Amino acid sequence: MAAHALTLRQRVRLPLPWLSLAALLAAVVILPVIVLAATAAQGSEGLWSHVGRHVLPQASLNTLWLLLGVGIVVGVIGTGCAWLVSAYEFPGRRWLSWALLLPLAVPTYVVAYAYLDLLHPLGPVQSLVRDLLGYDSPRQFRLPDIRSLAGCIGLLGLVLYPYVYATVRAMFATQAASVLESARSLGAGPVAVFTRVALPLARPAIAVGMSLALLETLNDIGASQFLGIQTLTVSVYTTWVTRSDLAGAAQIALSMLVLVVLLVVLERYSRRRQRYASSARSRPLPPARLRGGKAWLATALVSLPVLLGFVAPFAFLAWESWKRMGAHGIPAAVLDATWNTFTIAVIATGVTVAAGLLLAWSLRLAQYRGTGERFAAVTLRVGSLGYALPGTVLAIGLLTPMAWFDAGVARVAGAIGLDSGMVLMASGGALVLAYTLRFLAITAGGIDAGFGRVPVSMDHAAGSLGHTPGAILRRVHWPLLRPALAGGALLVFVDTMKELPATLLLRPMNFETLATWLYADAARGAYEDGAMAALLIVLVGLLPVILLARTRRGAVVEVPA
Amino acid sequence: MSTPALELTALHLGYVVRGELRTVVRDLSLALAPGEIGCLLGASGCGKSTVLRAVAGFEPVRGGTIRVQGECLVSPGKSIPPERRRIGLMFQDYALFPHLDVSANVAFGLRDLAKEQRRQRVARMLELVGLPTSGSAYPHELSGGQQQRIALARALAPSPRLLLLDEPFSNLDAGTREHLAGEVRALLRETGTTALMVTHDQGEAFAMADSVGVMVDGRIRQWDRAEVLYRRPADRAVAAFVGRGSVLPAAALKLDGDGFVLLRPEQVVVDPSGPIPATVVMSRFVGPGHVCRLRLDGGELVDADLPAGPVPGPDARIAFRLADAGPVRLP
Repeated sequence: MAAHALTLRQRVRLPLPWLSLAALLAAVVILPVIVLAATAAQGSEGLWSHVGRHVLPQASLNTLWLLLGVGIVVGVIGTGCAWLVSAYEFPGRRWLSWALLLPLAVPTYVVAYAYLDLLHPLGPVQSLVRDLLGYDSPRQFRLPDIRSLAGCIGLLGLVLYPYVYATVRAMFATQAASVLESARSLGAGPVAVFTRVALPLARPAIAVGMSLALLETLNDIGASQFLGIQTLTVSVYTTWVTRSDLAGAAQIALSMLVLVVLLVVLERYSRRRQRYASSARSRPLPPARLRGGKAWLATALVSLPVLLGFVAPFAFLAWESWKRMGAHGIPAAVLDATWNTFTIAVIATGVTVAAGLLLAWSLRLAQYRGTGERFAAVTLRVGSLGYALPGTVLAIGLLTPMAWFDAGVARVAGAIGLDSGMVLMASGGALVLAYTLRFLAITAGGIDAGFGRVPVSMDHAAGSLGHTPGAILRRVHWPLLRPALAGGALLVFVDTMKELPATLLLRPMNFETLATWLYADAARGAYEDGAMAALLIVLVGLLPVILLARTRRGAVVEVPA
Repeated sequence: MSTPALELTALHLGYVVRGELRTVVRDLSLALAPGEIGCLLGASGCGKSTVLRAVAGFEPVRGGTIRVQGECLVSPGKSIPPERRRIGLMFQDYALFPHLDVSANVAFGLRDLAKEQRRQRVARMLELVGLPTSGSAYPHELSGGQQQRIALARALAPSPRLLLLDEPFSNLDAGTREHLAGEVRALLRETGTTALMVTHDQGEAFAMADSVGVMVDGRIRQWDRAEVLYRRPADRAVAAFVGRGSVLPAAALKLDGDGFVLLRPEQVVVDPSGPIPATVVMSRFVGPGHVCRLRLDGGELVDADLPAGPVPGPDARIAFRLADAGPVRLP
């Protein structure tokens, strides 16, 4: 192939305005990471050694144990349940196969909040056990304390296993049939079919689900703090909030990033292998009928995660809220926090959908024009990296650039005699920015996947029929993409509403969302009105779970790979 | 000569990798007279679809000009956007809008017409493609052949100055394909539409086009009527791509001179007193006759179509002569 010299005009004939805007957006997404590295490097020798000696080793160790434990728990529960509901028929199977997704609606800090109270030495469970055993004081008998690393692993596992369950079930449902039937016909028994065929087949799906669950674990701040586990995330928060040591917090955040990168690499690698596997023809697996005791055992086993991960905390929160409402009505503070949460989530959703559309559409436009596609694809991928950044890491990385921005605005405003104060930080603009960066992958990925189902030839047809790109967006893309847009918007709305770590760090003074209000309540050790906030969060969180169960696709998040 | 409906001059197309241009199509020129149907024929990856996209405006042009009815669409430093070119497009996958019914699909490019005129135009187009009652159906309710016709109606509705067809029949089964190719050709004739189509299927090209260009590696090797391409291919690449045949040294067929000749299978006539002896390698019955492969004594393999009748089995020795219209000498 000959290489021609290009005129400048030919070089820059890209769909410039939109693509530049998208590239700018992608740059903003990686800005926190760059700033973080710079801030960490600035930390003086003394600070680094303090963090290095006193905080990092213990926090890293705790975090690694937590990741390992949660990984095992979600892997076992998620894969086991997915296998049982896919391969066997037993009472309640259909119903349970979607009920297993319900714990997705319970954020980690809510499950910890609920169980702390449920399992309190004076709480309902321990009292019941003592009554049954004939003891009458917590001093004579108490269960092992939930406030331990093991307790934390168990609780996180109970609400995070659906990530594994959903991806693995989708895999079994679409492509396991012919392989498993061949294995059976070659004389493999049920155990051998599972260990020798199903498990290796599901390994990429397990890894994808597990890496998503572990990213959530890394992101968690509420549960580990309530349960007294000093993880890296908790250390970032306390180093900044209580010690006001930004460089130290950045150093810890940077070490978290190493773990994030490992998890993302694992996820991407497994997704590639998964895609390879999914080229096989798909047919659902016909489940084998279980009888008698075995059938009921399966029902019991599969019900357990649903009961512990969703029903128990949900019932507890509902009961507590009901009691509280009967006694005092809905407190003004809860109403206030609800309104705040709703407003900020609506704004963040709007911005995130618009930003996602910009990223996905500029790629589409490049494909339409037949130029700049590679650049646009990289832009989309970089712009979607934020989903992997834990909220605390993102917030710490954003603090400095936002302070610069506010200072800059203040200087300009001062020059014309106005007092702007801290525009971004005080207005909630910082929060909206953080939510957008963190959840951009959901909308950008969803819209991009939506575009994937509309061949580019359709755009070309519309263009040849006299339509400008804008008109194509309006008359062809919009009607075809509405479901993808709505799905993405719902997910972002709910995720924003549940978000805790970044919200804690970036919210304006005295601005409480349901999540921060619950956090403050639990941090004070007061479990009064928090139940209502928790219940509201779980109820709204149910919406995407229902959507997910209905679409039956099983993809938790569509991340552009 | 009147102004050509389409004129490509020294067209260069390619994509940029790290600031360097990888040429896909080089120095390509062609002209279509008004009402003429042209076709670019070539293997996948030869650049033919790239040419089509460039004419439609979906591919950056690195050099050369594109003119339609004398109007310059693309020249150095200038490119009219696709939506203002008034060029119709028909795709392999039809690209019908799934959220619109057939009428709305056909009316999609008629936004400038008044409502009543638009309705009449849609009705007229549906009648033209033989589906007058399908207006309220949705694309997924139609068969492949019907979708194809609707796509044609949609592309022709705004009276484009030129119609481009990208492998238009490749998604249809063989029977429908032949039938529809004839119909589409008649329709384009009737409406006087100039068209350029690309395909890798020689049958499709011969059934539709007045003139065919064989493309190899981004260049047109020969631009001619179908018959000429078959009878007198310009070089070995064209000979290999159009029709079946064997390229042999002239000496192998006991012909005078050096160089190579193209021997078509139907030019082999079995004749015990023929000058060329050969061994049968295999033979297969295909209905009207037999398809055979012969080995000449020099080791060259030759394909031959023999009429029905007794055919010698493998390893049999035979002799043949050449049909009257002898083999073509290749440069």
